[in-house]
Amino acid sequence: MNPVRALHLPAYAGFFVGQFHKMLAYRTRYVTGIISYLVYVTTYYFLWKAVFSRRAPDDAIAGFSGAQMATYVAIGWIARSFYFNNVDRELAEQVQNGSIAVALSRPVSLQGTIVASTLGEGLFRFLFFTLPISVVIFLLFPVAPPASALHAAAFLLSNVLALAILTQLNFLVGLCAFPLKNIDGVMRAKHYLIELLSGLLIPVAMFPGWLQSLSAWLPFQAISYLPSSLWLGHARAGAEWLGGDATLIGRVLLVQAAWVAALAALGAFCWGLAARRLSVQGG
Amino acid sequence: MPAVIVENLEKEFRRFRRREGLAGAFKDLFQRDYEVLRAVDGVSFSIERGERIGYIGPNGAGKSTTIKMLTGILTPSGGRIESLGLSPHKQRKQYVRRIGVVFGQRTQLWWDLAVVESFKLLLQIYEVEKRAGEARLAKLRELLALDEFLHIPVRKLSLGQRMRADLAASLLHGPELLFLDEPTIGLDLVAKDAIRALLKRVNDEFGTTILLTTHDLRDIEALAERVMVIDGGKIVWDGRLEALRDEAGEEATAEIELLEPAALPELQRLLPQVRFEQENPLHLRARFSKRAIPAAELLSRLVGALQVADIALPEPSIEEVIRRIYEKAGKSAMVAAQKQGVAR
Repeated sequence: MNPVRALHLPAYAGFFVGQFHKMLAYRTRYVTGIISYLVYVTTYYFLWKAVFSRRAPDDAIAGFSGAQMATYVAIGWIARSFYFNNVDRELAEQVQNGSIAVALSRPVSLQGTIVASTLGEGLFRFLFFTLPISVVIFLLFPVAPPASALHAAAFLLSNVLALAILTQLNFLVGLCAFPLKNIDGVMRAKHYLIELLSGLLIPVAMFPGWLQSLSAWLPFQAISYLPSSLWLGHARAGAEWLGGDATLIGRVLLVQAAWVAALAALGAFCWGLAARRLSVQGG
Repeated sequence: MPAVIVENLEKEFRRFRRREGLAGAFKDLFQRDYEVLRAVDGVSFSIERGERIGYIGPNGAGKSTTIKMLTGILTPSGGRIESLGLSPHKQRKQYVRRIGVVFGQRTQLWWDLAVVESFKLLLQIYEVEKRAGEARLAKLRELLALDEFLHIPVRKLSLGQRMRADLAASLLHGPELLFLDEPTIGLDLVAKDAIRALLKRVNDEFGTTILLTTHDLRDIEALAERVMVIDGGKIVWDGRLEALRDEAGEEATAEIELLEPAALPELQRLLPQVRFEQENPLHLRARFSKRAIPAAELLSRLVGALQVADIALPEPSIEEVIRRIYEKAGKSAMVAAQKQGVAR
């Protein structure tokens, strides 16, 4: 059988297109978002500038020079403007208000639908959010170009995988709404956990040793730290297990793909448990 | 073979029961107390292809829960459903491709997209072959008069229009079964009539089997050939609409306006098979069974015995019968609960 038909890819493409359209209807909302990302980058840029101010230009912290750190901050936030989504909140709302019933009356898997929708949202974000943010930030801050054209391409692909990892994590968090109903606390905990352990705020290389070792076994650094290291072109401290610079691209992508697969399998399993005890609210 | 077979269907929900007071709340942290709620309690029925069924019952009777199990959304706690030869929750994706679902209180359309865009996406999601999809959409546009709002975003539609659009959305992929959960809720009278007429045409035109829940008994009268009544999670009545009508027709009332007050005990002695109620001295209501006394005979005897100004025989309503069915079911449920209480 034709694999495109067997996987019902056209069906999922419908959700991709639908989400893209939906986002388009709210595009003006993202103008203010551009300003808030500018604020984030400005804040962290000057924070790190202060940290590096009394050091010689080639005096690095955990392998990061001041200039590299500026690039790292800018790239990290630019990437976040693309991969970020609220799948967990949206799923929880659907469970709380009962509209999950509509989602389940369609001949597709919920998990697949969510992946397709977030990819559609990702495309929207890339075109109408990430690109304008990048232009502004590249103009205002000293951002170094990617290590090579190949690294640039790998960086883009890596962020699509980061999006997939975050989506699967958010799906798992959203599933908590089935037994718990209200998951505000879980979502907040996840939010801070990801901000910190993904390396967005502080590079994993600057974590204490034990936390670096722990991070190697967690999916979070695959969301921000590993993709950003592709842009910089170096395997950083805290990721020595990835091997040398030469095989960096292949290994980062492989690690990310493995996390996508593992989390997707876990999500499918948990969905199976949740569906059995689903109770639909209201009417 | 029936399109749907349901046997001893059950659905239990576990509900967290909070203890009272501060000490209770503290205890709840460590040991949770659950109570089991039986929303659907041993329901059995079968549905033939092409039937139009009204599924009614008071709030919380188990209507929606049954529909959600029939559409594969909820997993039954017990019993069996075989619909179109499939198990709805086990083969959900395969199954929902062949059914249509309308939830009156929610839309399955994309809120911000033009109606026609939602239709296109749905055709894609259900993987309807292009030519067949276009033909189907053309037919539905005509049938449901969709053209006036086809290019308007769903959020700007009136509720009546939205319902028509949702109905079209549920029919795009040519479902064999159509489930509607309160499709007329919140609609005005004209829009309700339109939806009823449309459902009837859909049933005639495509032979679609229809099961709908409603609180509006006029939906049932206009649409259903068969009525199932659920209460307390159990089916308490299942039969043709005519049977319900006959039952309603047998139990008649007469409204009698008098010129002079009547002596009620005397009247009761004269007509023991009639139950009299006195609204006020000049207004009597007579409840009677047509089998016990034909209406014509009752009227002539009333006119003979009283100074009658006016007599009206209001159309018997199925509402009355349904109310009696609910009451009877309520009583038996109460009796059952009491018995259980004793056993405990």
